[in-house]
Amino acid sequence: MGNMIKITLEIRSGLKEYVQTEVLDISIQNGSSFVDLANWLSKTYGDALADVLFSKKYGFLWLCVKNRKRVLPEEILEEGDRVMLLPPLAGG
Amino acid sequence: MPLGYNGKILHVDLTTSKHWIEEPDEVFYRTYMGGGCIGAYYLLKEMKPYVDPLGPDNVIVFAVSILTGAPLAGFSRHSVATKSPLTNAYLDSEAGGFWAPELKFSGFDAIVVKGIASKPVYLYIHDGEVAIRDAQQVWGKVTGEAQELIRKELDEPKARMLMIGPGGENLVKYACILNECKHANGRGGAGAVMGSKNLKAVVCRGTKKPEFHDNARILEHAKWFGDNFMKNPANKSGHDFGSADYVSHQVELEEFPTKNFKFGSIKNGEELSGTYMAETILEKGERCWACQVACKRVVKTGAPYNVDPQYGGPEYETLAAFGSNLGITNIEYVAKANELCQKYSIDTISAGMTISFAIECFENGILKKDDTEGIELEYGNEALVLDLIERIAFRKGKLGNLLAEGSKKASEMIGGGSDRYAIHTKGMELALHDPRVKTGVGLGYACSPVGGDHVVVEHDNDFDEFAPKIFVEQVKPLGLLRRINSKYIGPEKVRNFVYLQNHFSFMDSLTLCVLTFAPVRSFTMKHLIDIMDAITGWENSLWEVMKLGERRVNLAKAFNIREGFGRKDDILPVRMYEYLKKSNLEDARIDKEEFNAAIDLLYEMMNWDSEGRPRKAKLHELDLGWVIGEIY
Repeated sequence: MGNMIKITLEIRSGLKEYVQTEVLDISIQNGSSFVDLANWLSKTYGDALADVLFSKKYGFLWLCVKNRKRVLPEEILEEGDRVMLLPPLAGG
Repeated sequence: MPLGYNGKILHVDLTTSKHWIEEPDEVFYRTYMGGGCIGAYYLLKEMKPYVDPLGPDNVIVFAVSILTGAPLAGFSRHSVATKSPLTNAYLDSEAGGFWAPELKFSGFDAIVVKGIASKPVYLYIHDGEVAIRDAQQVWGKVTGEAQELIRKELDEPKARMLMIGPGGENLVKYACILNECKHANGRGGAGAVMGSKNLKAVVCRGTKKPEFHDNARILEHAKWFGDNFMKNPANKSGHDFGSADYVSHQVELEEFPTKNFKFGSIKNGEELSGTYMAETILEKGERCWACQVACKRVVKTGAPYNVDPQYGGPEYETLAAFGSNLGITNIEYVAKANELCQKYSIDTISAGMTISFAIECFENGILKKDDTEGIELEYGNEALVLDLIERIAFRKGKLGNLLAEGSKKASEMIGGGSDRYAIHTKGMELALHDPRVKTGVGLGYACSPVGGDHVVVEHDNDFDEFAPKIFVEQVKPLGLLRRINSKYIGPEKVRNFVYLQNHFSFMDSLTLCVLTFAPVRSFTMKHLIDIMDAITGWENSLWEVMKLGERRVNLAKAFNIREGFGRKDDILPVRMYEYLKKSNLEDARIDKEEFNAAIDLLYEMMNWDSEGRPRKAKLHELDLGWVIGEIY
């Protein structure tokens, strides 16, 4: 268990359709990135979510937010992080 | 025989009640193609400089494009171009919905209107026949009621119409134009221009679809889009939650314009989000003509607001303008504010921003109760805002009349240093995107001929270091190969701006929806060119349409130069040079010196002189030699 860290995933936008809760406290392997988190979500909540988060051609599609800052999908998660995955939007 | 277009432009003089039809040649159509480019052409050709925007000499151009009417997602838009009463500058404003294909099917590609009718009228175009009809029975009616009455009178339930409500009739400087009560040509006051001409509506009914070069190929593209658009994350978001989905980003990143752009966050801001709307007041998503995305929201509420679904639901800009901007997070109230603006035909962005301007003036003692008919202006007061919308639409009293002028003119009337709280460029209130965190949007606000418009370029975040690969790859056909930080302002950003501006400009000229096309949505640039070939039978190219976009920008710029605009007008409100405070993120502001240097460089890249005047060589290069005589 020492290799696991706890993070909080706040569920917003299109994720709610698949993960039907507001907040998810997750234990995840230490050293995991946002892509790993997205893979874990896809495995846990099904192929339909995987199709939303990933594209065969372009890879991971969504925006990663860690402690209110945008970060890269390769960003490593740390104990106690509050994170979000959001669809990539830039205008209204 | 033209393919894709009718080859007919309708001219109407409301003063004389005469109309005539112009039949330009293929060179005209291939040069200007449609939308704002055709609009700018006629504004320069048909209007003298310095005319009163609300007088008989202003011209208003309603235009579709050579592509309109092909049954494809994103092909249902039209443009309205005129001299803006809000800015006294060039205006073109676009909208989706159902009117554009109906104009095309009724036999015309554009309508050029001037003069003033002696009494309220509406224009009725039915399969090539044109009539100017009495509108006295619908004058004063809200948009939904007037639409129903006109359909009944014509016995044409399928008639589609561009319509103004009392806001347009009462010459609110930011009155908009609605079709189907919910699709707005929102910005800049084109609705007031219609009102000034006693033109209640432009009604179309047509049954003749244009001929296309290759129908099978068009249908293949339509099928491809239907099969694939949900794989694009931005299109899926639009389908599921509308533009309101962007609220969640803005809230989380503390970039959600709040209280007249003073702050970037508001407590419980998530209650204005697309997901919250879906869980509470959403009835359904609704489509524009031939579009599968269905990003339009339709909402319904119970008491106390009893929002009528006929008027749709609030989009991102409205949720921010009437929500966070006014210190309120009750989505039912925002839906009511939206409904009132659609009924009265008022731009929600300018209305919300003009109200926040007045509140900040009141808070700082510049406006006093003597000026506001005893009303205390404050943030967080739902009833106050709804009352102010009524006052604005009907120009009730001193306060209603003041706010109906927009924040720039109101600040000139108030004086006392109130101009620092008027968040506008060229008189058009900024849309609800903070340029301190996306500088390309800031260049658009400052340098767009229309003023504080957020649809000048694709926003910076789509191509920065955190953007998904899909967007970064899809923008490469424009020659934009590197990720650029959203807050950076320097030569690489200016270059991005120039290319992206020309891209959005050709989209507006072709009256296409940026929410269905690359770089950020499903249809790629390759799709676009192949679709153009299939519609027109011409051999089109991305080069040709990028030049089209550049042509529109230069025509609009030339219009403004002719009106006396120059470098001094390409600026941002002073607030944007102050820090946007964030709780645990780096504060953001624009460095004025760097920003001005970027504008200077932009002028050089565009081949404009130090006043922003397109150089003669540039005009010749764009086949706009005839414009030289207008601005030199």
